[in-house]
Order: sequence, then structure tokens, then C-alpha cells
Amino acid sequence: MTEPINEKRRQFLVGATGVVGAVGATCVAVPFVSSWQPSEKAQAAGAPVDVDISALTEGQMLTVEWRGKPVWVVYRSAASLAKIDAVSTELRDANSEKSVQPAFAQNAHRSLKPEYLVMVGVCTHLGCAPLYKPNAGTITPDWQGGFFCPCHGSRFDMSGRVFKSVPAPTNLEVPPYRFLSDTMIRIGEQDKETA
Amino acid sequence: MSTPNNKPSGQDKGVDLLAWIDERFPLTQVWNEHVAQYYAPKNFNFYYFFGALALLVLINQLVTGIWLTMSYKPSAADAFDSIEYIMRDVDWGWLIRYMHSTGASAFFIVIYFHMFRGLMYGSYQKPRELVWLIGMMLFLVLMAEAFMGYLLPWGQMSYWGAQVIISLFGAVPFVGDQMATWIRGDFVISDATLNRFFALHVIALPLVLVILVYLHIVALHKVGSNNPDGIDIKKHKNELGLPKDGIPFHPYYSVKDMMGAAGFMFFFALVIFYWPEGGGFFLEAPNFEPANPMKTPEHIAPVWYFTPFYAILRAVPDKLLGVMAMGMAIMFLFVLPWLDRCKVRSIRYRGWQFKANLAMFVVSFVALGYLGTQAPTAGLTMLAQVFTFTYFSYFVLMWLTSPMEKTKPLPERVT
Amino acid sequence: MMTGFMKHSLLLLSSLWVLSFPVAASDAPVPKLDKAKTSVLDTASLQRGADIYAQYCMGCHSLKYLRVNRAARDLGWTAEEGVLHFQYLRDGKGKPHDTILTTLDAKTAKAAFGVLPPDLSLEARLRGTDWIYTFLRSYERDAQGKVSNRLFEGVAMPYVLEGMQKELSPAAFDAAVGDLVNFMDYAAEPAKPIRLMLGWWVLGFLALLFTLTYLLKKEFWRDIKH
Repeated sequence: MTEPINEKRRQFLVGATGVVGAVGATCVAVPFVSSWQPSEKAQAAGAPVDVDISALTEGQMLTVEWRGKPVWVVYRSAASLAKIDAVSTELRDANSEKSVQPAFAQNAHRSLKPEYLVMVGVCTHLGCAPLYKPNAGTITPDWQGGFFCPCHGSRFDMSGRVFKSVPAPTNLEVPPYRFLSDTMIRIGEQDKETA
Repeated sequence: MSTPNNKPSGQDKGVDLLAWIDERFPLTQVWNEHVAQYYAPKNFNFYYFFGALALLVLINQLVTGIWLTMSYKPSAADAFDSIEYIMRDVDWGWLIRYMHSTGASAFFIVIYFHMFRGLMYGSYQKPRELVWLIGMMLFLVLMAEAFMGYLLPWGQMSYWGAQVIISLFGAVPFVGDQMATWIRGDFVISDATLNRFFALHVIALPLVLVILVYLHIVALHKVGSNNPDGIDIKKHKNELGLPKDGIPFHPYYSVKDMMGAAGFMFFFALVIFYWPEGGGFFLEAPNFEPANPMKTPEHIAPVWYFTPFYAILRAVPDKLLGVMAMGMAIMFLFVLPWLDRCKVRSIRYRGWQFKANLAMFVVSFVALGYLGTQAPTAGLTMLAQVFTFTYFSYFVLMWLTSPMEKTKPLPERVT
Repeated sequence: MMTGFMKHSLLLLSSLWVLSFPVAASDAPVPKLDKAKTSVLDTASLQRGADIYAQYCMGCHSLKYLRVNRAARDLGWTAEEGVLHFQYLRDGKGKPHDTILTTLDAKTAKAAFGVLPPDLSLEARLRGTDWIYTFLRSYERDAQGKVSNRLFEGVAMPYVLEGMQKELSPAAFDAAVGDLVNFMDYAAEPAKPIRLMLGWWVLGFLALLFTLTYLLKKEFWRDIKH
């Protein structure tokens, strides 16, 4: 060797090439990872759904499909709303801290407008579809009205909050939604200020 | 492995793990034999980048190919739409697709340079005949792979290109038509053809390619790499028994190949981002129209990398003989190690006959490649016939003149 | 790095290049196309082109691979604005994620034109932007009122832009057709704007990587005596 090896320079170049190469590899990985995201087609199929609630009367529920899942819109009576606070001590997650909902629905009535409940009708236990049981006493003698999952007996109150000592771990999920007008709800989209 | 009262450093742990593996799998041994202590001649030039680049392109094709199958639909009804779905609706689908379509052309550019290197420096000569033969098999399988992949977009050129090539089998005496029908699985190119080509393109042939690449490298490492001087570096060894003109592949050629890879990727990216159609050669314009069995495009040309052989096919005015000529054009390359009877390998020390012959061969190949893209006219067909003749004369002249070439004296050591 | 032989072989290849051109010139005459000087990075031009497309072309020609929300996003409109620009034919029933279809049904089209007006999603890649630009500017009406096209003999498409051509100065008409062609170029490859913009970053990065690997190679190869 005619000249001594400059170990420092060599190590610096190895390090620099390694770092730049790693950055490059990460950048190359981005398109491959992102390509697994729902495509425009999937997003089109999962686009927001508009629901007309003008015909919905007090106590009634209607179901629409959004992203392949049933979404319920329930018009709760003042009477059933009044019972919501009464059961809160029997609930697992009364304040919806561990449950999925837009920020605007993290309250006792779990909705934008107290009377209208919009909720994904899929049990948080194993994905069955719970039943709407609004009338008192229909499930257990002290039943105050709510949702009951026939698969494994999970029970939810009129806000979709789960009771203690049932299999479902969290409250039913509330999707993002907003009111286009007093009688029109768009599910799958929410106002920026309420996000 | 480590004593509880003595906390091992990270390095010790690594050594322990390596020892554990080496007892069960020859990891260090393989690394040394094929990378760290694989001695390659120190005088590799520009042409010696292309082997490593071919491997890089193969990996690119495998990875992007796997990703494309995630969104591609191999059916006559959906294939064309699914390509546009990839180009428009899948996040970054366009980039992955361009990497694959550009990669196909890049593969052949790299392989043609790689083969030209072999021709120039006599890398096919004894003792590297098997390296060459396995390489030629790789070339054949690569052509099949590219041909089948080209049907998948199900555009007009995909369809009619496949139609023309499969019809060639109809030239086989007696069983030709049945054979063509059997390959198609239908009386025309159809959904059935697309499905089987898809299966072959995405799994069968890539598997064969990967195995052949492995064998190609095993055979190469058994006999050692040739070099631009074409002389044996094992003749002069130092006191440790290592070739004086050899240097360990790692780190010297690993860093050099990294540089080559970075340079290659620059041009590769340049095409992907600013020239993805490759002037109509990498992505042909008629292929942006869905396959239509009722309407042939005005001018059918195969993708550019097949055009030299396609021009030979068209130059012969008889269907069967044309197909045979096309086959022979590739088959002759297989037997090259036995046609070249000269003891000197590299063009640097060979006679004028070899140089003129190789130059004429390259001219013929490129000219045929150009002619294959053009619509045939009487003048062009005659030109194609001339170049077909000179293409084949390479092999004949090689056999005739190689024993009597006036070669230059070989150096003792590489220059 | 360039060995003597490499120079030699490059020379050989370039002489081949020269050799092959006189041959090409003897080919069948290719109609001379005017150059469409367009850029998909010119969003204002794309917006004008999209409106011309919606007004003059969409009645017969769909863009079945182009989604309205995607086009709107790339053209600097909101999805709702996109619907207004493209979907007015469909009585406001269009959804933002719909692709651009035409209301013309196949039967009526066959009766009126004899052929089905083709989908134009990929026209710019099939024929090239220069071809479309030349084609749309090659219509003429003779004294007898017969319409013909200098580029496309016997074309089934009527002289759709006649009104616009009469209204505008020749330069303004060319510019309008240019905008339309630009939009069609975008429609044929919606990823084109991002592709053109991202490319510089990728090339810059690879140039840096090449420089580093070159220095690294040089550093290691100082060990090797020549």
C-alpha cells in the first residue's frame, strides 16, 4: 500500500452511504406499504351515505348500510333519554373513554343531537348484530330498554353503552356523521369543528 | 451461552449467535466462499456491472410483480380494467406498474450488455461452458417470461402479439395446429390463455429463473470469474495461496457494484418518471386500447427486445423455415463454446477476424432489431435477409477462422 | 473507466444509428402532426380543458376510468365543484366518486353516427396528444356544406367545435384546443402531474447516493495496486 488507509474517512463514508441508503430503502417501501390502503374504488364504495330521517317517528329505528356494515339511526323519546343517566353505575364504560366514537359523541347520549342516536350495529364482542329492544322488561325484569346481542348475551343501554358482566368489552361504535339539514344525516363524514 | 454474572456486550451476543448458527448451518462458510473470500480479478471494467445489475432488476421484477398481482385480475373481462385500476385507483399503483414495465425492458438491456461482455472477452470458453449454457437457459426462460407477461395487460398489442407468436407453432409439421390450440386452450387467444399465461408468468417461470440464477452463480464461483484480459488469475498465487491479481469480492466489488446500482437506478428512475412509454417501445401505444379479437392493429410489432428474432422470422419467406431460423438464431448461441476453437479468450489479444466478425454480429443484431419494429416493405425485407445472413455467418466464421487467427501474446498478469 | 474497446463499441453503435435512418425515410408517409404544447402541471389550462370537455365532448364520449373527485382534487376543485363541472347532464344525481360517463345511450349513438363514440379515457396515450390536437383543428366545411377532416378521412364525428372555431380568433381557438388536449392528456394518466413533480426528488436523491457510493468505492479501491 502506497498510502496509509484513512480509517476515519472510510468509516464516515460507510456510515453516510448506509444512512442515505436506509433513507432510500424507507422511501421505496412507502409506495409498497401505501398501496395496501383502501383504493379509490374501495373508498368510493365506502363513501358517505345520506339518510333521510323525516319519516322516522319517536322510538323507531332505521338501518342503512355504510362500508358494508349496518348503521342504525334511532329516534329516542324524551322518556328513554331520561333513563340513560339512571343506569350509568351499571355500565362498564359509562363515559365512553375506552370506546370508539367521534369526539362530539363522547357524552351520555353519545350523539350530536340528543334525540338522534347514530351507531354502527355491530357488537364489540364478536361482531354479531345486536337487537333493538326499546321496551322495558323485555330482556330481564329490570330491563330499561336498549340493545341486546343474541349471540352471547351482551347488553347495551339506549346509548349503546355496554353493561358490566357481559362479554362485550366496549360500547357500540359511533360512526362519524353530520346533519346536512334537520331531516338529512350524512354518515361517514363529520364537520371539521366537531372533529 | 453467557455467564449470568458477566453481562455480555452486544458484540459478544452477535458472535454467540453466529456460532450457534454455524454449528447448524454453514453461514460463515458460505459468506466467505461466495462473498468475503471470493477472489475476483481486479481488472473488471464497465461491462462487469451488468451481472449484478441483472440480479437487481430481477429483484425489482419479483417485488413489483408480487405487488401487481394484488390488484391485477387475470380474466379477459377484467384484465384491462384492472391495469387502469392499478394506474389510477390504487395508491402508488402507477409507480409500481411503471417499475415493472420499465423493469422488463431494463432487464433485456442489462442482459444484452451482459451477453455482449461474454462474447467480447470469451467468457463462454473452457472452463466456463456451463456458466454460459445456464446463462443461455436463463435467457430463454426470460424471453418466455417476458412474452407471457406482455399478454397480461390485455391490450391490442398484447393480444395480437401473442396471437402471432403462438401461431408460429402452427408451422410445426403435422401437429402444429393442434399444438397452437393446446397452448391457447381455445381456438383463439382467450380467457383460458390469459389465465394459464398468468400462472406461468407469476409463479412457474419466476421460480425457474431464480433457480437458474442460483445455478449460474454456483457454476461461476466453481470456475471463477473471467476478466477483460481473458487470462487465468489462478496462475500467480501469493504465499497464502491467493491469486495475486484477485481481490475479495467484499468489500471491493460490493462497493463497486453499489456504485453501479446507484448509477443504474438513476437512469431507471429517469425513464420511470419522465419516459415511461420509452418512445412507444417500452409501452406500445396500441396497448392502451383493450384487446379486440375482431380488429387487428394496422402494424403489429413485438416489444423491442424480441424484434431481432422477429426480423429473422420475417426475413425467411417460408413459415416453417422462418420459425426454424428464429429458433436457430438462439440455438447457435448455446453451442458457441464449441464453435470458438481459439485458445485466446479476450478480444484484446485476438486476431482481426474475431474483431470484424463480432462487430458485424453486433451490427446485424441491432439492425435486425430495428427492422423488426418496422412494417415490412420489399426493400426492408431484403435488408433483413442480408442481416440475417450476416447474423448466422458470425457462428460459421467463428468456427472456420478461430483456429487460424493470428493472436497477440497474452500478458502474464492482468493489465 | 471507458476502456478503448468500450469507446470503440459505442462508436460502432452510433454509426449503426446513422446507417438505419435513410432506411426509415423510405417508409410510407406519416401525416405531419402539429405539436401540442401542453403541460399537465398547468392547472388553469386543465380546468379550462375540463370545462371544454364537459361542454363539447362529454355528451357522447365518456371518460369511464376518470373519477370526478380525483380529477377535481388534481385540478384544484373541491369534489362538489367537480360534480358541478362534470355532471350537469345528469340532473345533479352524480356522486363525487363516480367516473365520467355520458348520457348518450348506445342505440341512439349507433343511429346517429353509425358507430359507438369511443371512450376517451386513454385516447391521449393511444393516439398521442399531437394527433388529437391536429385532428380537432383539421375539420373543414366546403361550399356545399359538407364536413370533412384532413387528418381522418371519413370520420364519423361531426364538426363539434365549429361554433367555437367561428367565435374565436385562430390563435384563441388553437389555445382552447390545446387546453382540451391537455385535459385529455391528464385524463389518460391522472398520476402524470405527481409523476413529473416527484421525479426530480428521486433523481436528486439518486444523484446523491451515486456520489456517496462513488466516493466510497474510490476510498476502498485505494487499497488496490494497479
